[in-house]
Amino acid sequence: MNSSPKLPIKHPDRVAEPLVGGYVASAPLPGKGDLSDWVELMEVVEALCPVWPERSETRGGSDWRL
Amino acid sequence: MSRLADQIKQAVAAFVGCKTTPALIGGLALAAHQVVRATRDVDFLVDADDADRLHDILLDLGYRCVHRSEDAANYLRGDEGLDLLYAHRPIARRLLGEASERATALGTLRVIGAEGLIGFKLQALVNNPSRTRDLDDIRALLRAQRGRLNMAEVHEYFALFDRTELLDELLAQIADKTS
Repeated sequence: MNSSPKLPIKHPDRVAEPLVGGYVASAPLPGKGDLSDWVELMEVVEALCPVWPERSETRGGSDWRL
Repeated sequence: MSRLADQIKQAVAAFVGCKTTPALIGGLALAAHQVVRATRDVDFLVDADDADRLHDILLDLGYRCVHRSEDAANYLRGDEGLDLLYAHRPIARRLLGEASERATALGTLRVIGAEGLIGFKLQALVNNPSRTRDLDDIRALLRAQRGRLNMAEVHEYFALFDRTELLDELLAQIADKTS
């Protein structure tokens, strides 16, 4: 017998609120300009994600003006 | 060194012999302009006259071509991707010719200028408005290179794509953040 209290699964009267405010600014890291920051960053990324997700995007679109 | 860095070094070494040495473009080129974010997109701006030569080079390196048009090509090798943008119009040819040679952690590389990078990011955004990452990159470049950009050139690209209001909006956002 499960005596755990049932958790309500729907809260129609509630509005989801972000944990840290409504606006999270993107904060790119300032780099030295010699790509060493990117190399270090990608070493960490590859350590955390050794198998990359499949690439699905090809360079599409028809508005090429440059 | 990361696997991705090795991939880039191998490709750059193989590009020797091109009519014009390809230049880094896209998310990775951001890092050469003080905007660093994680990306595994390896994009090069190349002379359209080198398209066939580069195609053969990449096939020799084990890539397969998954898409090729007069404007761009996508190559894959396992989970590694490499994209080429072909410079065949005057602006892209100028940007490729003016790309600066940089001493980088990956060796000597040609990198497209920040203004041109903004232009290509804008072109990508126009072609796929759902790619908000490109908009974030443009904003980050405008912020990181503030005071150093040739704004007349940047304005020219936004005018070319009928997006001058977007540029005004972005500049106003940056001014608000820094005031």
